[in-house]
Amino acid sequence: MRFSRRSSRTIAAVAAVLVLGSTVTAGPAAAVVPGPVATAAAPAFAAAKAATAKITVTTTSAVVGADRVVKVALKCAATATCSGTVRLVVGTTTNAAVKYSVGAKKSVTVALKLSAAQLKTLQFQGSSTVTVQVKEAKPAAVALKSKKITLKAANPTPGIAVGTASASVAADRKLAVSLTCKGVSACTGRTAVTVAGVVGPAVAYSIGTGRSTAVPVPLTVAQFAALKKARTVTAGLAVTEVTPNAVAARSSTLALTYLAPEPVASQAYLNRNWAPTQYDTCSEALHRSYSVVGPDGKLYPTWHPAEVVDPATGRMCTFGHEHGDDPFTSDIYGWVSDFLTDPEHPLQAGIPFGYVSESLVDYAGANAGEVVRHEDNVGHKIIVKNNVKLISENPRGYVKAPDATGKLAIVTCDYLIKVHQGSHSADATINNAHEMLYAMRCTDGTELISLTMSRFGDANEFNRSCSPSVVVKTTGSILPNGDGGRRLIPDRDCMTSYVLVDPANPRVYSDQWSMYEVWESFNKLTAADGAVLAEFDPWFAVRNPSRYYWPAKNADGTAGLGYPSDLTWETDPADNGRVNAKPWSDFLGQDPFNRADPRSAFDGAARDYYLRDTVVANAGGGNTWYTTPWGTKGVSTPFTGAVRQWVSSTDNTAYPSLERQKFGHDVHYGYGHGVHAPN
Amino acid sequence: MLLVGVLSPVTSAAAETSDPGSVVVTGTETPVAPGAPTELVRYFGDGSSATGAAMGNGACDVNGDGFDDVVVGAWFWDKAPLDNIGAAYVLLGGNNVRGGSLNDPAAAGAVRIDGPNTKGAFVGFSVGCLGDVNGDGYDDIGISYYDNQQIYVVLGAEEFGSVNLDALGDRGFVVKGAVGTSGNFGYSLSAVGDVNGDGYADFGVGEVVAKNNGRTNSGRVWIIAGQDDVADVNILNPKAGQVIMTIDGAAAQERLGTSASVGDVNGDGIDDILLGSYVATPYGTTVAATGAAYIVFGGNTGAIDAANLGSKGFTINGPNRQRDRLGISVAAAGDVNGDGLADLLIGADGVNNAATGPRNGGAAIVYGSASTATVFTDPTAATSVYTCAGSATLGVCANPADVQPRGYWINGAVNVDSTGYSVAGLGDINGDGIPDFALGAYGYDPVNPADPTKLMSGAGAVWVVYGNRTETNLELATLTPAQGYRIDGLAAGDRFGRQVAALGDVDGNGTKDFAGSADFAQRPLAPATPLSQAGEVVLALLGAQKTVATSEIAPVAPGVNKGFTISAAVSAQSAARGTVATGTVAFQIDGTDICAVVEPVDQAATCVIADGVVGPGDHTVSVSYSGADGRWAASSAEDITFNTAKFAAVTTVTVPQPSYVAGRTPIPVTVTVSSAAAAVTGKVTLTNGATALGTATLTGGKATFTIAPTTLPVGALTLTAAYAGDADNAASRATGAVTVVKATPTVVLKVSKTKVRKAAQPLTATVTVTATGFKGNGVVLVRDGAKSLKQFSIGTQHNGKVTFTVPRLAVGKHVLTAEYRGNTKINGKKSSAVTVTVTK
Repeated sequence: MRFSRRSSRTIAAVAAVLVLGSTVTAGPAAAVVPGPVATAAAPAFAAAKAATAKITVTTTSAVVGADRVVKVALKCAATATCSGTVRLVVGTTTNAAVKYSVGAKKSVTVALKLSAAQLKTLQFQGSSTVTVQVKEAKPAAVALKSKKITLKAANPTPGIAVGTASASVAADRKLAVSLTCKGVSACTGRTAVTVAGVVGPAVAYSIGTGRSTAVPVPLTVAQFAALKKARTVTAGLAVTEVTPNAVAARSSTLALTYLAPEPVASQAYLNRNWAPTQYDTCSEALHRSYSVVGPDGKLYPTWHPAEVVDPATGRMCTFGHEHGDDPFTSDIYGWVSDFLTDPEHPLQAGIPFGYVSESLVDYAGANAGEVVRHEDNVGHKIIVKNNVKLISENPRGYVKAPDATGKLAIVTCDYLIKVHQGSHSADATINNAHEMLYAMRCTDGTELISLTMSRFGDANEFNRSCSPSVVVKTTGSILPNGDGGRRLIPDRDCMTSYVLVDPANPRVYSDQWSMYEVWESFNKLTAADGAVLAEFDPWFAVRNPSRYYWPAKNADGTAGLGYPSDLTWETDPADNGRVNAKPWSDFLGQDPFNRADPRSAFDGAARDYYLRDTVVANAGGGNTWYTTPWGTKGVSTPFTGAVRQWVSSTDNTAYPSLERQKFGHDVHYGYGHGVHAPN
Repeated sequence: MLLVGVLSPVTSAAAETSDPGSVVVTGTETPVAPGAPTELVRYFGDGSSATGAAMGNGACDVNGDGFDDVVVGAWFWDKAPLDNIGAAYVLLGGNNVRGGSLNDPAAAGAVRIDGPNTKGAFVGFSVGCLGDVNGDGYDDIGISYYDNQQIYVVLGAEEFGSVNLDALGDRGFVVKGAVGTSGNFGYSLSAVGDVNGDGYADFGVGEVVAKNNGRTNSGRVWIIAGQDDVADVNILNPKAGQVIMTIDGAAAQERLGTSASVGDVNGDGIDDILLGSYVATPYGTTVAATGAAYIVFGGNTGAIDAANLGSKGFTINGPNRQRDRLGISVAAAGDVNGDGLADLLIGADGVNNAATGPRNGGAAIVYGSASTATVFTDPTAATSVYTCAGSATLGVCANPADVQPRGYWINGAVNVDSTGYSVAGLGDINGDGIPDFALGAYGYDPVNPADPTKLMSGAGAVWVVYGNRTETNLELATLTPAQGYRIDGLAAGDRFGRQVAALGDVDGNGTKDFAGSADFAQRPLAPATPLSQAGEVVLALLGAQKTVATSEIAPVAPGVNKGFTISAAVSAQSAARGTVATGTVAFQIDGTDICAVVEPVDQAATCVIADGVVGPGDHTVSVSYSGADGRWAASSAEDITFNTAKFAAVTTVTVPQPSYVAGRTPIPVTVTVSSAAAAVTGKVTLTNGATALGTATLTGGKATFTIAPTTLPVGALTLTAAYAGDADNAASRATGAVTVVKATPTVVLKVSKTKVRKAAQPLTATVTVTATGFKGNGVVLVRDGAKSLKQFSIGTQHNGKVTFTVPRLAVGKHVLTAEYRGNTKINGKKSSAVTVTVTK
């Protein structure tokens, strides 16, 4: 391009073009300044006949890192070598010139350098326009030739490092963010957390070089609420560094987990839990690991297999007791588990053992005259039965009702039951109340989740299993009587009549069925006004209880026990009666063994159960009811010691009386699992 | 608890008989004769339960597992505190049929269905497999509660377990008769197939002392329709179609009460029903307990009166000699005479009477026929089962010539044996093409094996009689092994043979089985205290027992030409059913016998393979067990495959010269593969880097490649030969080096004139570049002295020769040269100079 005198307007236009970097021209240094081009300040150029520069600055922008070097590319358009000097003008500061020498038609990159202050300014501003001035000596001496280029500060190496990728936040809402200062000097700055789109307050930090600090960053109430609701969130963590490097806010992610409060141990977990006996190989700690948090936020024991792999050894071990069916096989487990979930501990939900007993403590504490009752661990038994078709009793036939699609269909129900059914001690001979979870859901919309201290008949009595009409009176219980039902429990009379038989008479044999123990429940959930919300009456049976009632075994004649396995080696002094059939006969001739020995056939693990009516009369009513632990005084709001119940807003009272279906005839939960009394 | 006076009295036959012991089978014989049981598997009940007093007849798979099951009644079973509520057992078929005490049903592989919660219910007096009553794919069973005039239909299920008869739930329904009457509805139960064609199996229920048509105790059999419902069936007020048919006894006191579906007796394509009236008196009441049976042709419905069958069937009268009790049991015999018609097996247990003489009991084989003529029986006659072409009086044809044989009689061995109290058609169990039969003789007194001088009174027996077509009477007392065999009760008083039942394939070995029961058996025999009238069911398992063969080799990965050991084990499918001690084990490698065939010892056999036997490559070891003596079935172990290490192959690459000029001559490359194998075969692939140069098949261990002279690039090259291996030789590879150098061309410049006037220009010139194998493409620079005069490219289309116009030259001498710049395979080269003189 041939230079000529131009108007300032023209010069300004040229300068603007220079900034854009697409054209190279020559001009006085004063015309090249950082920042906006001054349209009125351009002085006159050199004489029109000034030589044409052969050196061209081809760089239009450059990134400047900590080395402060600005790399500028020069191109020699001459057929001979170009040489001269090049320098930067930053603001009003002109830096030292650097020589260049470029072969003909060649290019070269020249390293210019900012001062530390210039770099800092650039880092602060992020980018800046500076001028490259070239003074060509060869092939022709040309006055300063300028070009504006844009400098960008390279991302500075932050001095502060974040050491926290995940954290738990408890109710105090405090989040500890670990920061480490790796800068050459102390790190200062600020940090803030963003949760669910809500930016929290900035927290300043000041950390000595080489040190780490856990900076407490509190979540706002809104942030914490969002976290608690979601349980886990991916939060944003912004860290701004002021010193040693001015680094704008850098973001990283932070996995936050809501830290629920540690559940308080229930009585069932703390005081009525299981401990291994000489026959058991699993540890107490392993057993305690099978726990859930109940609706009240307390820790409870729960179901576990009778045998498990001990993580400590990698080998199978036995707890020596069982809790019945695996609740996870229930079609309604999720529904029931959700209902029993403590919002603080949703991942620790399940079937709690002893929850109603625990509620009873609170209830008794708030109500004079009420009693408390806690039951042992091994007696908690789960029953799962899916897809039970309801059968009308008379005339027999399927009960049908409109299903979800409105089509008349056989009513089918799923049941998940947990009942405490200990048949190894004297407890059931006097006490009638046993914790029971009774959950069922049917295709006709009937739903019920009931948690009560279910009463099986009256306290201080039971019915003789081998003669059900005989009521055996006992003493020692302060529990309230039931609304119905009874407990069929074997006593000594059954043993002498049906087990210890005349050895000379091959026509009679020892019949284990004489000790068939059946607990017949009758349950109601009632509202405060006495209205019955639901009625249900499942029965639970044990074919091989490990004890029978024998008051004479106790000096005071109360609640004495005999043990069926001991009958193997016993002779009835009254008539010389002895056992003569299985399962006792399998051990005749062997040395006696302890009744708790796994060899005993009487471990309470052969159980069956009966399901009949579940009458719900709650059409139009609310689903959630709070009742006493006895299932009474139901209201819609909780009160001290109340137990939450679920009753569908339906009414099936018009159904016919149902057939009492029996299940589990062939089930034995103990075979091959090391189960033994007490179970 | 006690069995009191409810069963027929049993008196000992004493030692008046000589025991035909040559035909006794205990299930332990070796070899196992055709038709004889391979094993007898025993189940015994609880004390005083009379387990086995009833058994279901026919194949029955209640849980759809492919193994047939057995239905057993124990009508005296106690469930403290309730005496005699009764029970039924389902002995589950399977690979591990094992028997044992039914006190723990699960341990014995059984399911017990307890009677109702009612003392003295005597449930299970009769039981039956009814077929698939509800159409769900599982066979269903019937259990009688005749004291209450009802039966339970218990539905089969995949997880077949017990059920509460007081509340069947969705596991069944009740068929109710007239409660409070004494018709004994449920006296018998039978499967009759799908009579009404609705897809559900129908069933027969006997009401042995029903009073109909004004005939006291004439008896009735009800044919009840199957249903896919659990609603109870009230036969007194049935819904439409629930009662398909009733068949009433022909006369008062004849007690029609047994029934069986017997196949197509008359050839009309429809199965027919056989019924028995064991105390019928077709010759008048003065001829006591003759007994009779009736065929009712299929297709009939509604009320059928045996006294007036007409075209609906025919009658079989018992012998006119009193007290044979024909019809006490009835069963399908199969097609005994081979005429295509189903034949009948009718038991006649006989009752000893001082006036009318001894009765050994027996059975009649009655051939099927479309004729409705009454069939007569006379065990004392040469033709013992017959019809009369003409008239008959009291069972005697008016004209002896009118006697037309319709079967034959099987006569029990000894008086009061009660042979034929139960009968079962077994099908052809001895392989002669003729169906065979089982006859229970619960009163039989077999010789005591422990003291052959004594008989075991009332131990009972089951006679297995091979069917024959001789139409001659068969005397069980002289039964020969060719005619059948006998299974004896174990102890006096057992009453073995009280029931016999044809079964399906209980143990899954492909052969149908049968069972006999001893309802009074005192068990266990040892070591525990025996309990009286516990009852025992004996499964006679037919056919070779399934075995399981397994094998392994050691080491698991034998080396080439290295020895190894094959270990085989053979065991019974059911570990509880004995030890395989006979038969032979054969070994094969790659389908070829190896090692000698050996008998298993301790259920094991070993084959040791020596070094040098098994060469390299893939191999298969097969082990098979061949059963012996008909006791053990053949089985094969799962094949073991392994690969011995192949011979290591050594590959070499040979190139004759270290370097070649590009384009000049083909490059020969020889690849040689050698190994210790007798031969090395297969293919070799030659590559240069990623470029494949070719694949060749080895011949004599060599493969030769001839690489075209222009193929390879110029430079120092590494050629790779990859041998893929063959069955004996492992893959290998090798490399060879060769250098390809550029060719040197000949460059010739020719100018049209070497002397020319300035005005006569331009000149033309030609540049020719030649190199062997190439056309010399590339760039040519024509110079005038040092000055570039013209540059152009020679393309492949130029064939190495380009003619061009020489730029005008100034006056003077010009030394022109053409400089070929070369390419990737040809060196550059300058032509000789051509001087051109330009004049004015």
